[in-house]
Amino acid sequence: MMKRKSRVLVTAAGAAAILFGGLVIEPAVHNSAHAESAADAGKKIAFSRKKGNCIACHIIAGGTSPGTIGPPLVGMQARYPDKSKLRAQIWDATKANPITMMPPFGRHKILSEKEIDQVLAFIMTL
Amino acid sequence: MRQKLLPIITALAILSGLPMASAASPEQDLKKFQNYFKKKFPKVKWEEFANGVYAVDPIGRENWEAIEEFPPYEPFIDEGEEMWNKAFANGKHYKDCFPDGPAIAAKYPRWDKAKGMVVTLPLAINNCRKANGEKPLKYKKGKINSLLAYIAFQSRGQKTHVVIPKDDPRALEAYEKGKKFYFTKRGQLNFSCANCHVQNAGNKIRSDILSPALGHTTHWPTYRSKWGTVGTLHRRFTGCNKQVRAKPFKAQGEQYRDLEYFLTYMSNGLPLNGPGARK
Amino acid sequence: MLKGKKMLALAFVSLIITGCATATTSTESKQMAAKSALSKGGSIDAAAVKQAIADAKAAQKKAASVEGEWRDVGKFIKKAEKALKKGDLDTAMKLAKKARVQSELGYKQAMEQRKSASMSLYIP
Repeated sequence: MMKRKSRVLVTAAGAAAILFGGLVIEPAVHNSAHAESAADAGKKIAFSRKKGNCIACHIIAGGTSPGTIGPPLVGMQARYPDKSKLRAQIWDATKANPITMMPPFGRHKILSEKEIDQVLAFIMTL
Repeated sequence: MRQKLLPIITALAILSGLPMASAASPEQDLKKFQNYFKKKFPKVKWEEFANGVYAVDPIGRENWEAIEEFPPYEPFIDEGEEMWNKAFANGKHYKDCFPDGPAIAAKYPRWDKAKGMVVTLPLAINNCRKANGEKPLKYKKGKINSLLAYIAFQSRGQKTHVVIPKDDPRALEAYEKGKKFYFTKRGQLNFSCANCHVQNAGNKIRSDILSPALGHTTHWPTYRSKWGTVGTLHRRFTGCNKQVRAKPFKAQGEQYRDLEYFLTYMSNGLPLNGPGARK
Repeated sequence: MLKGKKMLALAFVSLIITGCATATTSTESKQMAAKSALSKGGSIDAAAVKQAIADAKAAQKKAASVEGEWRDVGKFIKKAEKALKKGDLDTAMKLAKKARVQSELGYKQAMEQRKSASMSLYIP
């Protein structure tokens, strides 16, 4: 039911896009700018002492005095082809290792779901 | 009725039986604990563990050695000596409570069978004051640190030797509670004491090196640059709990006394070298 | 040619996303408007806030009883009470809820750790 509805929507959107060809470029640009700003917001969180503070434990390009507790955050796309697995690790690392030092950012509501998405967007650029 | 009771009894038996079967003795724990750190830091000499993070942080150590040339805790030792020698209003002295004093740091913490609790040195000091009609001192900041600094200085070179007496099961219970506390994850950040000071000892958190648990209890009270003064071990416990975003417990309450009991026992054999100086 | 197709596809998606986003935002803001109108109205919401604070305190007590209270819960409750006094019901409600949720998480954590925490996990 849902699927059929969305297919209808896509078609409708497609038709609209074709009809208003001039408008096509604008939303596309808007979208990539949006993604960029999510990563930027995520970077701020990752480097902030009160928020994510990822830098306290992980080496991150662009950050000074990183900790050595967790693995360096590099090559994340290759290490986590499945982005959702990385998100799950940020959300609750104790699932994979009950005595991990990594705080359960989602489960303990240290970060909001939106903030986790932003951190994820940032980390995936590393 | 009997049918209902049977599973309950079985469950109880399993519950009470399991920890008994798996619980190691304090002696076994001690060996495991100390060996863990010896293995983790093979280059660190045994006595060096009493120097805490400076046993594993060569850069921090240089600064520390420079600080120790003119120890910031020195005036507190002097003030403590005055306190030790000054008579209470009733004419008695600390010496009347502690005939072996002032070098008594290695006697604490100890299990007090009559009271049925772990007695720490700060607690014993206040017990003495109260018995002599004096107001108790605060347990985290203030004057108690001066007296503790004097006692610690006089006790330098004594060795940690906490005893868990076998003739009172409540002593073992207190030890086990302290041990459980040490390995329990706490607060919003979900850290146990052991996460930082066992699992990640020697690692950097931001630019700070995490100190090994072994040796944590040898050098109290400690002058911390961060505090700008001398503070007690329980003040430090409070700070640690806050850092993991847990509500701290009361200084000299049961939780921290039991914790001190376990943690000091784990450093048995290390020389006492208080008062200390730390970042 | 291929580029153009990709662009088009992206555009469709973004159009849909933008459309959806607008829809949610407008319903959300409607809900928020309704809420604040209620808050200003007084009695019903103030009672709800009081209840939420009472719930938070009960949860705090329960967490403390198993040594599982988190650092900021007491602060959130105090701030919630202050906000309630000032008539800032939305803030009060938010803080009370946060205090309750954190207390519940702290309780859960403590109960779970009672079972699982052990020296041998760290030093096998």
